[in-house]
Amino acid sequence: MLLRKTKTYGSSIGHQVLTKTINQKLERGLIIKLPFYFYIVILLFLLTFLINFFYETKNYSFVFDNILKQSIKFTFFQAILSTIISIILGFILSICLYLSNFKRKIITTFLNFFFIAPVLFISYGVIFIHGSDGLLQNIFQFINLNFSYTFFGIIGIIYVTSYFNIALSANYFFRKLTNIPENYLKLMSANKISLYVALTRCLKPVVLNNLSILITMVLIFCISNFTIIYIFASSPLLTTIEMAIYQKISFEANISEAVIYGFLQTVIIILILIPTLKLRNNFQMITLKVSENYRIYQSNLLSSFFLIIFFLYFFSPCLVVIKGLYNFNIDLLFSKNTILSFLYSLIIAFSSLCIALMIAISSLFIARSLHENNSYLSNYVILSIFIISFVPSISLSAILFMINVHLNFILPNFLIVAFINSFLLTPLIFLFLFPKFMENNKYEKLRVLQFNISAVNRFTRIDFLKIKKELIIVSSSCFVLSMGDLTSITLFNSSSFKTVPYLISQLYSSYRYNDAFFILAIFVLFIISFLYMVNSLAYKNVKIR
Amino acid sequence: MKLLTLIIVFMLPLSLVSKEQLNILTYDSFTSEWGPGPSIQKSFEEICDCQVNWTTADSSGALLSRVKLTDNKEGFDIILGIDDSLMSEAKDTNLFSPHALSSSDLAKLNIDWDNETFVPFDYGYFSFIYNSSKLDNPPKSFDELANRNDIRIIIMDPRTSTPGLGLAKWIYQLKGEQSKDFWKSLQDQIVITAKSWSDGYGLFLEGEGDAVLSYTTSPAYHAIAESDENYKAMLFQDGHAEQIEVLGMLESAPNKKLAQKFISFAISKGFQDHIPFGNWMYPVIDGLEGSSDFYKYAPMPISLDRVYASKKDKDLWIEYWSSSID
Repeated sequence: MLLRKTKTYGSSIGHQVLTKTINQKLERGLIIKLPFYFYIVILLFLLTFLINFFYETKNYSFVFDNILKQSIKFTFFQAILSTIISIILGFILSICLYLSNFKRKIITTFLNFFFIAPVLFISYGVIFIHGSDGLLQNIFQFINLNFSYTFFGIIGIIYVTSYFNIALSANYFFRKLTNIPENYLKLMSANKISLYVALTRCLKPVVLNNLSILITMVLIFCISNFTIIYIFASSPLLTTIEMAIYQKISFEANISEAVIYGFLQTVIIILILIPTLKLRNNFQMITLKVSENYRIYQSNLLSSFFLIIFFLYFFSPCLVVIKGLYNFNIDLLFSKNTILSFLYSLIIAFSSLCIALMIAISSLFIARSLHENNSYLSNYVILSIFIISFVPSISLSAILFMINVHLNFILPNFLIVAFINSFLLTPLIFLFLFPKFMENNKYEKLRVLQFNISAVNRFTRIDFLKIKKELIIVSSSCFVLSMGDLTSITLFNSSSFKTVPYLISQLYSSYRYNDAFFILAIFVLFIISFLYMVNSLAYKNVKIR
Repeated sequence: MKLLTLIIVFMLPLSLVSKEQLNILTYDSFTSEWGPGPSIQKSFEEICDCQVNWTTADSSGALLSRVKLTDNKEGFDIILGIDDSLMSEAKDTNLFSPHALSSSDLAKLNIDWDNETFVPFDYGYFSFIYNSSKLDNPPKSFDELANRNDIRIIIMDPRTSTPGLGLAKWIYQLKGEQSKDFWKSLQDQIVITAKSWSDGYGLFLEGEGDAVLSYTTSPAYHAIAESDENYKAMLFQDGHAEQIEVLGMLESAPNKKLAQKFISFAISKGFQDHIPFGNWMYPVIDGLEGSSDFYKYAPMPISLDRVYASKKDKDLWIEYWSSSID
């Protein structure tokens, strides 16, 4: 006892000060906030670099260039059209799914998959079905129906861009519908209110609540459809800003113009979306309520018909997997190149996810703290998280590439790719976790103050448990999205660093189309298995109707 | 004894690290497992006692952009794969140094060559590839192609693809100032203007067009690697534009001596052996083993005069193309 006392007494005052400082920091949650501060430093660094580009550019006549004007017009025309189509059809699909008897877990798993499926896979799947020598045209020929059409050009672009975004919108609306409170439904049932009346009158505020956030996300995804434009733009007039940037970087070595093009796109998106970037109090409606089982509306002929159409729309491109597996090549599958590509894809996806999770959770924490203190700064936190997703990823890649040039290539390529991917994934994670993170925040705040719970404890003991399931789901989606990305890797690959999408593109540019389809099929099967496992884990021990 | 073994074990990796390094920037398909890169690397490393490191860009055009943007701060010794249409622009950057090959070395080549900076390693001729099982009477000239409304062709965007630019050059070589009118007459046949050769060719194989802009050597790949002799190149009586792929040593190359050795190697049998069946282009030296099969399926077409394009020329060709699009 004496010895213990002596030891305690003997500990230096410095140690006590240090312990106190650490405790204070824990209370304030500095450790949790650090990734966001780090992110802000990077943002400021990028901004400084951007200002430098403006400073170095002497001649701005290219801003009035006809090609740029055409690119801007087409970018926003196709994006706005795809957004409108995606949201309307997504809403219709969500109602059809809500009325159907399919399990919610299955519905959301598939909707998640269609949203994050590799763009190359869906694009070639669509060509496999709708191409001039595709399955559909062959069926027409077989039944002597003289009907031919081309899927290239604006139709193909809108069709494929909408594919991913209809799934996203449907998922969003479906989650809202499953969250309609039971007492609402009982009331409507008692009053014999039809679904149409319910949606247009009673439930309108529920459905429209936070719609602006969905519009923001869908519009951003529709604008950044570089790969789709690359494949389906049959005419040089169908050029987007991202395509013009790619041309400036890859063929004209004109990084300044490329970056300024990217800046223009970012400014236009901000101008369109800034009114929507407001922090709302009620985010509860976009989480999936898996255990809810009260139903008053049943499917009808019309909803079943729409469901079949949607089923064909979503599943038909997946038939390309059969084509890929038909070209099975065991040597290629177990070649060093393929194994390394899969390994690098996994490393990139894992690193991107870790960085994105740290920034997203950190920013969620800060945004909530500010919101709890009624500070308007919370909106700026959200803006800072979203702003980087408005920048075309190819521009971002170019800026980071140039920064690395100035730093004498101090950063390894895989780290830059991981950073770029993580910046684009962060808003998605933020948005997905936000409702759960904000759940009961006012009540929690009181308890936190009452029991003097530190920020770290609040996060690990309360928040983490709340968001655990959503965290698993969004992490798996982001992991897959990062694995399938090809944009930044085109600038940073080397013979020892390549990912699966890059391997597919290499096969494609070496006449090995069958092998490219085979690897694509294996990649997609891997993704499906991965998502299935993760979803099983997320919904483990959850009773689902 | 144990200590000696330990020293040897620790020194072994060091001896590997201490090997001289040769850093080459090239386009991605060149270094792929099935491209010529790995075999060339193996052959060269056997004679140089060095380590070859490849870095890739997604296209030929992107190679030059990359060294221009970085001022070769990445420390490449060699750029391999830019084509003749970029040579003049590349030389103007002052990033390249002369190759130092003698005229007797260059005399061994099967094409005339007198450029002091760049060395050719393969070449080809632009052509339209078709499936002879679907198209039995291919056009014999460009004019005939423009008048054949039953043929749908896939071309590439000259702003983002080297073959696309090659087509613009080809048309200019044949039609001169009438190029714009000719592009207009060809417009009905063009169903897709792809962003890259690989995408355009892939779409052709998917049945999106009856013919695709590629090289006269493309049928050799299908015949030899896939045993499919149906793919043929349209051979035009009015001649075909040429594309020569070259390599060059960078002025700031960290290992100029080794780079010079590689350049000499590029026009030797050890390198050229891998070109016909790896890169599917014509080799720049004759007498390679087994190449008769390659030439059987990739016969030499009538060649137009060689043109070394300046930036102004290229802008003009692209202008003729872009102004004809509605």
